[in-house]
Amino acid sequence: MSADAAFRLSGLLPIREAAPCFATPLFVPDGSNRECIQSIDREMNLLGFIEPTLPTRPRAIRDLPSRTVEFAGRPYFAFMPRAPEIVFGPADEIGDRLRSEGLRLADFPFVQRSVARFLADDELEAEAEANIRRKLDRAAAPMADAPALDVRTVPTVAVSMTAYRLTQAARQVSALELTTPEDRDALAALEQLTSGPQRDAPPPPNFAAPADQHRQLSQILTGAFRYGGHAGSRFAPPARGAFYAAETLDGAAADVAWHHARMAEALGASPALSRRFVVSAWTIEGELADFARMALDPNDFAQTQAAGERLRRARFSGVLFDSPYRRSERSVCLFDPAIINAGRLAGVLTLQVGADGSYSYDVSA
Amino acid sequence: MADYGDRHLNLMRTLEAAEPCAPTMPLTHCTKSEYFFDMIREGAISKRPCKVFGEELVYLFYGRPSYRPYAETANTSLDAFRPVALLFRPEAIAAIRRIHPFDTGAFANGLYGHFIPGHARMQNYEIRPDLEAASKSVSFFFGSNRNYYLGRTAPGASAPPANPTVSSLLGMFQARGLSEVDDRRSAIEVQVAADVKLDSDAIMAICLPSDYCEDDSLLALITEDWKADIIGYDIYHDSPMHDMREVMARVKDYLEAKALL
Repeated sequence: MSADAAFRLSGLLPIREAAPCFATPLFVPDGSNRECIQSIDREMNLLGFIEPTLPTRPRAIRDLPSRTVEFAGRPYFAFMPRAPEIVFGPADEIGDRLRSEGLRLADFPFVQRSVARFLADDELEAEAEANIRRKLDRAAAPMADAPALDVRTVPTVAVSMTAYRLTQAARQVSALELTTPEDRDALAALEQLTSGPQRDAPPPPNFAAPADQHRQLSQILTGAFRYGGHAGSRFAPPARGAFYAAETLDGAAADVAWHHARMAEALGASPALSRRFVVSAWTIEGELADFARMALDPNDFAQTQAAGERLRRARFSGVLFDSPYRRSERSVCLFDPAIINAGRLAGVLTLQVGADGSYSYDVSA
Repeated sequence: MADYGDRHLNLMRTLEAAEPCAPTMPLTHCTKSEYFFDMIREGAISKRPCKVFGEELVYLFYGRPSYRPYAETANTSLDAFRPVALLFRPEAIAAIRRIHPFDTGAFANGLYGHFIPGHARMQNYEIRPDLEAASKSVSFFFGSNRNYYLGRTAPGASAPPANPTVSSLLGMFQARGLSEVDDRRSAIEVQVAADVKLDSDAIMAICLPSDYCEDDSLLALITEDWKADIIGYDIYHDSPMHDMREVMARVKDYLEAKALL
């Protein structure tokens, strides 16, 4: 395979599950269907091309604008920032953009250090090292007092199910709509103020969906994994995002009604409510930790947060559990978006909660 | 006659006279990151059936993060995407079944044919299954842990007269230039007959792509649950052989910092 040929960029193989990160460009030479990667030495010289067996995780990203490449002896690199536009080109052409991205990577210090070393930028590398020390100090904190859970003894269950998630029907600002660096910086600052430290990158939305719904569903999915909240949730400690959904709309409504009543009680307000929620339906296929038939305390999250964190570290995709608010219903908490195969919007649910905490709902298209 | 043959063919007979090379080095296991995440899930490196020895084994290497994805794959394999090297405390590894001075998969596939005659018996190359014996092999052939890591034989290393086992090994270790086999030809292979648990007692360090540490769960697992050191290397693109060289270079730096080389 000659580097003199014209090549088409056929995909990106990200180094890790979520941006920001470098990615390996995949190419197909004109007139061929053989996908290859560049063989590059330590001095960043292009030696040729190889056709390896690609890893299955993370999955390659295929949804890219068409792009033809003529190497002229120079290797191409790709970096996926948190913003939607990838950085792609020979090293000497992407330096400025990459440096600009690197300065914004304080929350991702290991990636920041990789960027600094790629650019041979000592100042940025020193900043990254300081950020890494802070991250390492923080890493030990959440689980310091958690009881041990032997994840090897946790039962698992293979699921193939549809689960419903309710998202309050309100206008959401999407990072995809923010086009300038200033906008993105402002959003990042806002995130810091509203949700505490964002310790995990949002997952890459990678699921099947009707074309006209994909963007809204991506926001719902990304938001769930990104925003943890200060108190955490049933299986996620503070500031750690997770995706919750129920196997039926009855279960989803029961969960939301209960959480609303709890919040109203904490605020000393009446629980009476009439609110509209977007219903999204998600196809989930894979293996989950099986906590079904396990009685969970509706009010105490300490044990389940610790258990959830252990399971997340052991690379479980999520947990299947009986709803503590409506025991006949099953719910899921997902740590890994890769277990979601497809999504679709399934109407609008209007929830009515009475002053006594009773609730009812109806669904419209 | 039996004793005569044993003396001239059995490697361990020669190694017994050597002094152990201190300190004892960690044991390593290299894998691609996909498998690493499976191991995390299983909480252990699980035994796998081995066609060469007809039993379930875990393969480790002594002191050197050599890559051994499949026994039947030659060194031209490009499957080593984003390699991860696990370094184990030597005292934590029990149930050692066999030790050989090279990768036995390559031996079984005849890849050492330029140095070791095809009729040679693998048992002659077997080292007593304890790490002191492995360190004696380091001492005898390489003279130091550092030389062993770099694959450089000791300047004065020589085979006893009329000892084809040792002389063929030494010839293979000393060979320079292109070869069908990579550094595994001189990496001491340690076979373990039990699952190797991943926990704070066993794991000393993990060498992995630095960017993986952005995953808070993984970072906490390594640093808090396993109390292991992180040896990060940078990836800007996937060039599998390049990545393995990065692993070798970073682990070398780590072992030097720990005064193990």
